[in-house]
Amino acid sequence: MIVLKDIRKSYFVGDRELPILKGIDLTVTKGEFVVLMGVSGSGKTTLMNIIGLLDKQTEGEYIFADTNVDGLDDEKLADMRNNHIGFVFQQFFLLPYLDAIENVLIPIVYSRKDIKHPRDKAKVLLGRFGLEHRIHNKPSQLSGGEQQRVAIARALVNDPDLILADEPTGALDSKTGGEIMELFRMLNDEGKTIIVVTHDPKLASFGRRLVRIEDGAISEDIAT
Amino acid sequence: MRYTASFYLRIAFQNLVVHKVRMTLALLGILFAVMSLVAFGNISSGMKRKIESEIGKFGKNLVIVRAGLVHAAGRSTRQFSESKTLKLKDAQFIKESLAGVAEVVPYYDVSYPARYRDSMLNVSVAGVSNEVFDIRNIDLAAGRYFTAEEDAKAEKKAVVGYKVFETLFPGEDPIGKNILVFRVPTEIVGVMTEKGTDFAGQDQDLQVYIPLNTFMRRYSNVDYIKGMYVQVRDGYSLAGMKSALRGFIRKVHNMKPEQKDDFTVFTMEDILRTQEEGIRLVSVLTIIASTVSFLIGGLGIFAIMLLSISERKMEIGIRRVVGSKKRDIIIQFLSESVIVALVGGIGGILAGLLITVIVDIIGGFPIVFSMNIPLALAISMFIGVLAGIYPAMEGTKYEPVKALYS
Repeated sequence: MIVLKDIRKSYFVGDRELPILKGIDLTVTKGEFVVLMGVSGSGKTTLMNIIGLLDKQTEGEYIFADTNVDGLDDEKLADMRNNHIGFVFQQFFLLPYLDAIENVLIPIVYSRKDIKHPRDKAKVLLGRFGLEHRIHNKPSQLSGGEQQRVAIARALVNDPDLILADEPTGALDSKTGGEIMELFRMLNDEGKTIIVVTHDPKLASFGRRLVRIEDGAISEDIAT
Repeated sequence: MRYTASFYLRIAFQNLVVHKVRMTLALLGILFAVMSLVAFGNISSGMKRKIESEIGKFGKNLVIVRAGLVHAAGRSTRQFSESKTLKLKDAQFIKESLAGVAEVVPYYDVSYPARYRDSMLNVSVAGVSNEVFDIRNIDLAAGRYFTAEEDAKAEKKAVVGYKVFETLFPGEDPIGKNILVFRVPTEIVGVMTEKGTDFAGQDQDLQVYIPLNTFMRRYSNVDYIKGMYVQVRDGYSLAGMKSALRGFIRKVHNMKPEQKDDFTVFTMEDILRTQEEGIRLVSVLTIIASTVSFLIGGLGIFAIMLLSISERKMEIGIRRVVGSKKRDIIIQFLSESVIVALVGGIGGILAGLLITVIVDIIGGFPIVFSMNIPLALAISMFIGVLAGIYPAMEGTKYEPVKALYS
């Protein structure tokens, strides 16, 4: 599913090179549940952006879904993201003027997959996450946990292979955060590949594999 | 694909609803521009239609000769000097000698009270030959025209306007009754249909037509006429006939070159030209005003779209993250600015139609809807695209992740 070979990423501030990722080798196979842990500044977010095809490495090779994505242009990358990856973020990023179901449907607008009856599908997803009575509520009328569940439904609506979650519990209390992580666990049981990026050590127990990033390199990679 | 289009539309309309005040301000410029374009286009068509129908009502291919100097402009003719030099035989000469003249109707008109029993009404009495009914398109509501024979015998017959009948003979058949004109009992033989005011400002419904011979011998006892209608044959130009008439009458009147005319020759077109020039001037002003309005409207939409894009960076970011391409972003924001412009345009059309109806009703113009509505919509759309293109391009400049966290 994901093969990263000696991935390096540097930012340039004036003439100075700031290395963020210093040679990452990582393989994630289909059906894994990886927690990518690291403190802020460790490079975990940069790594997540590269995995999520939102950023490009300076050096190294990245093969995603059997495709070498290094040479792909903007449009192809957008298609790859749309087809293969569902994103979940700490701040949910729901559009405030759309109701829950419309938010869930956003990826469908850009999809080339022929998804039949997208509204019904979105409704089923929201129903599975206990939001059947909330489908016509605006994000401002939903609690944080509900908003995050809407965001997860949005990540799932286009049938991605991979769910990429960046601090998905960061804006939630620990109980609600735990529920969200249980939800990922359930999705993983159904076969979805899941990568959760976090600084919070408590989340490690929900995954099946822990990859720790320290100072731009992998310092630990264990099954949990 | 159908889903995508309807999704964009819904989002565009939702934005319109969410930002009501702002969007209304943005589309007001377009609204006013389209409104003035539509309203003026319709109203001026109505006015032109009315002018045409007035010409038709007055009579086709007519050149009018009036004794004395007359200034003809706007909706009236003003007498500057009187003259008693225009004679009946001038009219005969013209009819016999000038090529292109189909018919000449000399007339003598004067304002005078007409009486029937205890009622009285100020009317315009005109002595005319009976060809007047033909060349001035006069139709009858009742009775008949007077005949050339009655004219020759100087019989006291009259064809009266509709208001004369209405006022003097309420609920009574006027045909065969005698009214007093100049204290002379005159038999009504016909009543004209309702015609309203003609272009020269004369209320046709207060007209009383009497045979010219009768009038000159029995009523006014004059040997000159006030004017004549000259009907020109098809194929001859009215302007050419005007100058031919002027030269001919000067010759008949034995006038020296330095002498001023003692008569005036004009056509209805001369009188209506000032009106048409007015319409043209207003139409130029309208086009200027609506161009400025369109520009202001475009700038308004431009500013609102720029604002909207900077406010919606997160939206652009999340859309890009879940797979929208740059052109999807452009299409989305362009469709929003076009919809704003179109809503303004449609509002402008409705307002313009409303104004058209109100003005036409108040002004008494026929209600005409000219074909500038598709044009107005097309211009609105064009302005929407123009105003939206730069903001939409700006929206694609953000990197997805940076847009999310900015």
